[in-house]
Amino acid sequence: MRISHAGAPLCPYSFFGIYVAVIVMPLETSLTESNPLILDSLPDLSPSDDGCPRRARLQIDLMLLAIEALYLGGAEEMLAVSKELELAGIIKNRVALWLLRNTNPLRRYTQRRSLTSLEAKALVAIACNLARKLTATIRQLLQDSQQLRSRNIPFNQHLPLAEYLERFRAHFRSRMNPKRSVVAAYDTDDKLDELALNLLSKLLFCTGTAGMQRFWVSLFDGEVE
Amino acid sequence: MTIRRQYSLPNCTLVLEGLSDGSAASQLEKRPVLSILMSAECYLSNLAEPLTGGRDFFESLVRVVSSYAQEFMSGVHYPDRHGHDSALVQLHRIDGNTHRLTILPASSDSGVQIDEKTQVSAEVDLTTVQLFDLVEAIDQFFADTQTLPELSLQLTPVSKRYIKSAEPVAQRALPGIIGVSSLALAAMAFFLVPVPEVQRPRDPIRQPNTTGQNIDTPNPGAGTPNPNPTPAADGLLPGDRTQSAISPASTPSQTPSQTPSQTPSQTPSQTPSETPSETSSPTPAADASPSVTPTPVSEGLQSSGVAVAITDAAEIELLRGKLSEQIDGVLKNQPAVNRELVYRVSVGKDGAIVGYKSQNSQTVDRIGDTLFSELLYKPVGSRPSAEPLADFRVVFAPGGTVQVSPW
Repeated sequence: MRISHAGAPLCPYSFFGIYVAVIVMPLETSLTESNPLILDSLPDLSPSDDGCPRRARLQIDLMLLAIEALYLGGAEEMLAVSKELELAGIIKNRVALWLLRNTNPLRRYTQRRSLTSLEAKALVAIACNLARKLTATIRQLLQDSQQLRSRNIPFNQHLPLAEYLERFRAHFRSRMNPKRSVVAAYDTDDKLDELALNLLSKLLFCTGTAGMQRFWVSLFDGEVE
Repeated sequence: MTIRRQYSLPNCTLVLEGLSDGSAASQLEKRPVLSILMSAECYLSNLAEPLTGGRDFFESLVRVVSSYAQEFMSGVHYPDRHGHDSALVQLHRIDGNTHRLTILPASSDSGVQIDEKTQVSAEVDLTTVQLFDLVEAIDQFFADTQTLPELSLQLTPVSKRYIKSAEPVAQRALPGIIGVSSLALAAMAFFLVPVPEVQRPRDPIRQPNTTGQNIDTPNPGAGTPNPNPTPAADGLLPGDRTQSAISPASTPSQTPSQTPSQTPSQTPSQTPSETPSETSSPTPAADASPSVTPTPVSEGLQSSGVAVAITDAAEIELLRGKLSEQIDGVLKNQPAVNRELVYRVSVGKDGAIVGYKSQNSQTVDRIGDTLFSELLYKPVGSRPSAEPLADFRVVFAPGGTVQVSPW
């Protein structure tokens, strides 16, 4: 009687010990999984715990939009790259990617949640990786646009450039909420072309040796204390 | 031994020449560390002569170009990011695709540089692609740990404070000014709106009148006289205003619902409104009399005019006995009156006192009010509205006796 009484309080402890071990182990592995090496090169800059600033969310999504406009199947490629960079723990599937991109406040289906620092880093890594793969295209388009501009030839005379601009306009108009004043300001083709080319030159800077760090840090300009 | 490092890109080539500091470790390596910079040359595709300079020029170049690249990517302009004014190299944005690189001659008093003589002031416009090549050459240099290892890529976002102070004061004050002025405008607009006058109904008798007219067509409009009986109590007995203020809130709740039975004769409406104000002791009156008295009394009075009075003499006698019994039961605790007090009391068939009214309104001593408010029948359900009633005259004599007689 006495033995069983003394043994009774021990039992929960040992059970508890087992439970702790069982729960903690997968947590540890998932932590290491969700912090891929590639993201370590990006410093933590978020001014607060509630995620990335508005401009960062907007900018990341627009850059991805420009990549999509650069070549068809960009969205699929983003998922492939996320697996390649071992970011699948952060961006699990297509819907997750879509939700992350919809943290852009200008989206039609914008999410109320913000982007965590880790998620933002993952998206930046994907954008820069894709941009690097597209370096040749980006350079060529920018040089051509420069030449067209200097000769006062409209962009639509140049087929690859016209395609990029047209696709970007279509993407932008179909996905951004026209009721937002920022979106409404891009009411003409010319303004959207300007935005598309601006994003293209930013993508060029992403392709560089330190492109990812530069892009990441630029997202927080004027947002930190 | 001179070490030469070259970073080549399509539009820009960066050539660095320098010496190793001669430490044993660096000598042994295949690629020794360039730690002392002798000269830096920057070949740009649209510039025939390279931009050359010493260490100051090179440090200024990498710092300015690097921070300008950040400015280009974020679109956040912060002129004093790295103290541009003192820099030998400056970069300015001309438009979205043109960037002007300016090299200033080094100030004469800084004689540290080696190549000071060859350094000339130069100005060149770079396209975005050319700018990128320059940035990339510099980034490759930064990434190269064997060349000037003390210089490395330092990227920090611009602080919020500098951005805010960069905005002109007028622009920052604008939202505040708009807010204050719109508030002032709104305040002025509200001053122009006339203050609504509170009109107290002067003649309470008119209010039941309207309900009387409504009786034929009962509609939601019948609810409108609701609040009116309350001020009526005020208007009727101005002297009693303070007391009546306690009860009115509960008064109107029942009155409108019973108006139909009341309306055929319009005179009684004077009495109901009077009762709540007359109650001299607030405690019992507040919960009991205001809610009940108005209608039964009016019925009682109207019963004398209409054919609902109890006419049977035996029954009246029986009720008279009950009434005087009730009064005697309560009267014991009360002090004697100074003057004769006359009350008209309505009694139901079962002997319940359903209403009362003082006949000598000038009297200050209102012992009867206290007394009757205690005795008054408090309805549990709803009494039938056309109940036959008997009226009695109750006289309180100064000697302490009470005389009850049929009215």
